[in-house]
Amino acid sequence: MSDWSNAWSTLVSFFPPDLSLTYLWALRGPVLESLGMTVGAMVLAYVLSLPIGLYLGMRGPGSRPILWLLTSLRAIPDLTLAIFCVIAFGIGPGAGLLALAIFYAAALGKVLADLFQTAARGPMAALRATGASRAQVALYGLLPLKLSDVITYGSYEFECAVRSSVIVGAVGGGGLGAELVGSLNAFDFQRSATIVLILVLMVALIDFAAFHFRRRPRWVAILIPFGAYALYALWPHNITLVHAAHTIAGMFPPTLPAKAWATLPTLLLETVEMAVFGTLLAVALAIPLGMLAARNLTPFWLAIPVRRALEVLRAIPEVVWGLILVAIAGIGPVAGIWALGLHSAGCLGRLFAESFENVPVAPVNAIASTGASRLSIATYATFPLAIGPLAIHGLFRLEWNMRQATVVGMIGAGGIGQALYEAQQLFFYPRMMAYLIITWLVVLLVDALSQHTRRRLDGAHLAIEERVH
Amino acid sequence: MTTPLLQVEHLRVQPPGAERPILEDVSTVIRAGERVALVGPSGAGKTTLLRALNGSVRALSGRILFNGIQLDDRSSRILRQVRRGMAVIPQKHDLVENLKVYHNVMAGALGRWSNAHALRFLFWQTASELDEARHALDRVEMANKLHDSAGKLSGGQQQRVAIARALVQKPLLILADEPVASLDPRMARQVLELLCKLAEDDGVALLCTLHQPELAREYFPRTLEMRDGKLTTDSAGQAPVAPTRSAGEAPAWTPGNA
Repeated sequence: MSDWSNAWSTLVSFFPPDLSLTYLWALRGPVLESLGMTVGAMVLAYVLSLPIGLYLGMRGPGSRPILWLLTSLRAIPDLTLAIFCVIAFGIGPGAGLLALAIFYAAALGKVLADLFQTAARGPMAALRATGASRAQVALYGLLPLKLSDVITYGSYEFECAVRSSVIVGAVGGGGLGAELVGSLNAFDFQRSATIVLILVLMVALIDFAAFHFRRRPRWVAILIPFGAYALYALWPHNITLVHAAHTIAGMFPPTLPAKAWATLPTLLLETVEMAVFGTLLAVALAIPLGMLAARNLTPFWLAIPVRRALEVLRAIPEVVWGLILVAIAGIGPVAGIWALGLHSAGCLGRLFAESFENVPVAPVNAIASTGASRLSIATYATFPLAIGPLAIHGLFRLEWNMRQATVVGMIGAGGIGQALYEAQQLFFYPRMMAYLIITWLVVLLVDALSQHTRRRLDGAHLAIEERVH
Repeated sequence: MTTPLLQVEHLRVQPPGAERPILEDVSTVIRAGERVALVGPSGAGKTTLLRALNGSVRALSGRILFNGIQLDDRSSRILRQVRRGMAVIPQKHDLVENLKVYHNVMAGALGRWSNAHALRFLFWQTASELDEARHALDRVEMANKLHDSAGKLSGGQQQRVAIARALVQKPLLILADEPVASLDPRMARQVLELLCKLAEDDGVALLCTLHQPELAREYFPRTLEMRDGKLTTDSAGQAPVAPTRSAGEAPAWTPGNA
């Protein structure tokens, strides 16, 4: 009981947020730093990933190993990369920027490669028939054919990068994330609440900007000078490759002491449990919230506020939820489960609402025509008709949460992530490297498993469709 | 058999933004237990009329009285009360394919079940409920498909399940939308015979839209004809709005002592 009352009194102490002008003014630096990190890293990521994506789209020689490299880079969580960069390049926004740039260059490279590989064959063959070189075909065929998709996916990644910028800040990458950790460690919870509010506003702002960029792609160009300046200002100035190489060499060979090997299964199990229960919690929250947010099930005066609430849940990344919940509920997997659950509930709630809205209208009308109540129509028609997409979204989320469970572990939620973070804090670099490699292998394994399951699910789904039509 | 069950008065339907009304000044009366065919070329407004009767399409003006209740689609209580008495057999059957056949059949009972009852039946069915579903399926010769998944049935089988759903609803009026549109002539006769027999056995009124006037004459005592959103002919001789030719060549059924 006293646990609960403690948690409650901590929760209450977040309110009201500190909205004094002096504090808001003091936050301008961290906000600009986070924005600068994001834009700078994304400009760098686009510049790196566009040629890579085009090359892979043309299926140039050596495509397979490059694609494999991108996939494996992407399997390293952003927070882990940030820890790595902080060790190699020193604390500060420069390390955060580099971590973001590496992570999103790999992510974008993979996405762009997938996009370009699906380009229509006809126009490309016609271009090749003119005797054009590979690069010319890429510039005159691939890029124009897929430009709108490139911008759409690029802007989605941009939205993710804003949230990531706060995450990498939490482990020494500067910006708002560093500010948040500082305020939490000082038990200055009203200021932590302010920072979370600002984060929600920033994500909303970027959402808005990305929406307009998708409609008027030319405006993306205004980000380039801003990004170039951020790169110049935030680039780690005392970057010495010799020092970085030396530090990284010190992490090899990765070793785990015998005692650590013995606890490894427990740690892994804790991480898997966190992911599974976090996803289950998210699904349990997202089904009612998704129904309340679906325009065809709920009157607009209720659906719109529920949608806003889902956006807030989604705008706060798992790590930030984790930092807050560790402060409220104490260190341990419960905080991790809630951190994964709340953020995922925001994401799944929106996807579920869309699935409910995309249900075929006719069977719903047929049930309504029997005089059934709203709830009966929802349970007998809308819900069963949406069950396929719901399951696919849930599986995707489980895969994502497997990765995020190691990340929230690093900020005190237990499991292998926490072991990794403790090793880093104690400068046991070979041990840290060992945990890093194990996490990375687990994430790769889960990715492969989930891809396999989804392919089978999609196959089953298609089989049903074929039978019907 | 002769009390008015459904009264339609000066019904006018025009969706917002449409240039002309889909239904214009439609008036008619259908009596309890009566079997009526609604014929006319496609685009005449037959389906819209059925949907308006059921409250699925909002009327611009006019009045619909069903079993003594005036339809008002702004009151969900009245709308549900009216719908409960009127079973719809949609043209494309519109089953919920991820559910079992018995769920789809017993969905006809949702109008009289409480929410708790409806939720319980999704997961746990009593023997008497399954018997009710089996009985309804038996009447459309589908009892052996009770436990099948609705998505696995052929089109014709799905139609029979939709008919069973209508029977479970225990309605006063069945609205059937083009039940034979996509069937070959032999199958079409079978389905119409089945529908008419079921309606007659239960004493339920039947309003059925059809493309083919000869099938209407053969199976239905009374035929309404629609053209460009207006009722043009009524074989029962009840004055339609704007008759364009002499009503009813062979009125097999007369209003009697109406």
